[in-house]
Amino acid sequence: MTSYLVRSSKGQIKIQEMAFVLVALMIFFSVAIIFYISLNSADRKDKVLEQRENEVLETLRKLADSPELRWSDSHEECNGCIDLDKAILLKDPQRNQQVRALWNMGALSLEVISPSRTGECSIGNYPLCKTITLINSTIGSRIQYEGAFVSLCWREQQSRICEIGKIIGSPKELR
Amino acid sequence: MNKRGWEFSFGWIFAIIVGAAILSLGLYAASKIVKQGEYKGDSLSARELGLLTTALETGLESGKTDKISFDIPTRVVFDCDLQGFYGVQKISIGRPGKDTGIPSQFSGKYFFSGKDFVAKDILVLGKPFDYPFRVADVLILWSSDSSYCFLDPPEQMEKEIKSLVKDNRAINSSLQVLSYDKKESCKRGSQKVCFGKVTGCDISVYESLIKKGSRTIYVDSSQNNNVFVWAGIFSDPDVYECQFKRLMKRASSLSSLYQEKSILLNGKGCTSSLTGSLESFSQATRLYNSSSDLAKISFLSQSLGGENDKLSCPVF
Repeated sequence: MTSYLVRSSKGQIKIQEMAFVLVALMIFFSVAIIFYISLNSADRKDKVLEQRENEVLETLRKLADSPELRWSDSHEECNGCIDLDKAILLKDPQRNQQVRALWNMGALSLEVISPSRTGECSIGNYPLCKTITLINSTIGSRIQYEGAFVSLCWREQQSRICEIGKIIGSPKELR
Repeated sequence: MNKRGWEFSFGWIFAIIVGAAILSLGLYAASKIVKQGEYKGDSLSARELGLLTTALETGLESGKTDKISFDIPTRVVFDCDLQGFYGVQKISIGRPGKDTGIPSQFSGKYFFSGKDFVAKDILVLGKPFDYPFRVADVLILWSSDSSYCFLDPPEQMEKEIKSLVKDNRAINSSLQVLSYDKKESCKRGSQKVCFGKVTGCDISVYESLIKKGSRTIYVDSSQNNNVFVWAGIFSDPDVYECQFKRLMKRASSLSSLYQEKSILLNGKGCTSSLTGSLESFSQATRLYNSSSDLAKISFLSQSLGGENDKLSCPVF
């Protein structure tokens, strides 16, 4: 009887030891998997952010040629010119929503560099102002802004007037 | 002789069962991680493919061609969806015969192509779509493995094909121009594109429509860069219909933007009488349902373009 009890408790200890080892193994693998997933998702986030930045750069490069902003006059071409008469109209809330859907950006604005001016443009003070903000949904200052130089043109009577300006944009914030 | 044989203790059975469970769990997790990696790679590649095509859209005055190459034959799915203001171009990529990654969506892209195909190299032809003002730059895409044999195309199109073939070697092996009588000389497996003829043709192009098997799509041949005809020949009929719906949505909103601009210019001493025509064009394009509506819209587009050209202060 005594020897049976001794043998039985030895067996139990062995099973317990094995169970502990297995539990430890499971915990080890779980931790390893969690570590891998967190590293992987951080890497993915970086890659997506990098892609978004590239996308913004590409969009900025071709924005002056987009139908919503390009200088449109069948009598005279103006490559790389932005039509401020159209740009100011894109600030209208309904149109602005459409523009947001079209250009996948966190922020987008046009700025007059020369001559030096101040203030946000509206239909009332335009073109004697500095900035036309078309998209502004980015929160925080971490985002890198990229700019491209353009001619900002508008019509006065029958002639075209252009000034030097810049397009500024930034990618959408990752949630 | 030992009659008991090999003793299979509870400890062993326990270890084998739990070991097998852990092993299978590990294998499952490993396969999931590998799949996840592939999925992630495919999804990022789809976005990159979309970005690559952006360069081809910039400032296209005439047809511009290029080639996009993958390292290995790749499954490419180009889908068109009408969701949102302007609809979206969906791009997804995967291994042949396998699921694709998450589709990347672009609101400002218009791809005319097959829906789902495998290719190592994709040929791209970019064309501006002016209707009558610039609406977008469209891209026509096809696999370099598929070839098209144009039989007796109109003079303007023949010139264009010959210039494309001269400029790009990959396109040279993909496009062929022959007279209809020599259709037997078309490359094996190539799609025979006939103009005004049906017999022995895979695609028949007429003045205002294109027949592809049992499907008919309508084109506006008044467009001087043949964008409708090119798009119709190379794209799936469903993609063609969907993309032109998206383009007309954009044309409609641009037309209303020009309407506002016309009013703005009036206040600046630059009188234009285009607001009424722009309003009708915006409405017609908003109500566009399928390519069979093109005849009506084409007329409006041409007259709007003509009116604008006559202005001393053009709106577009």
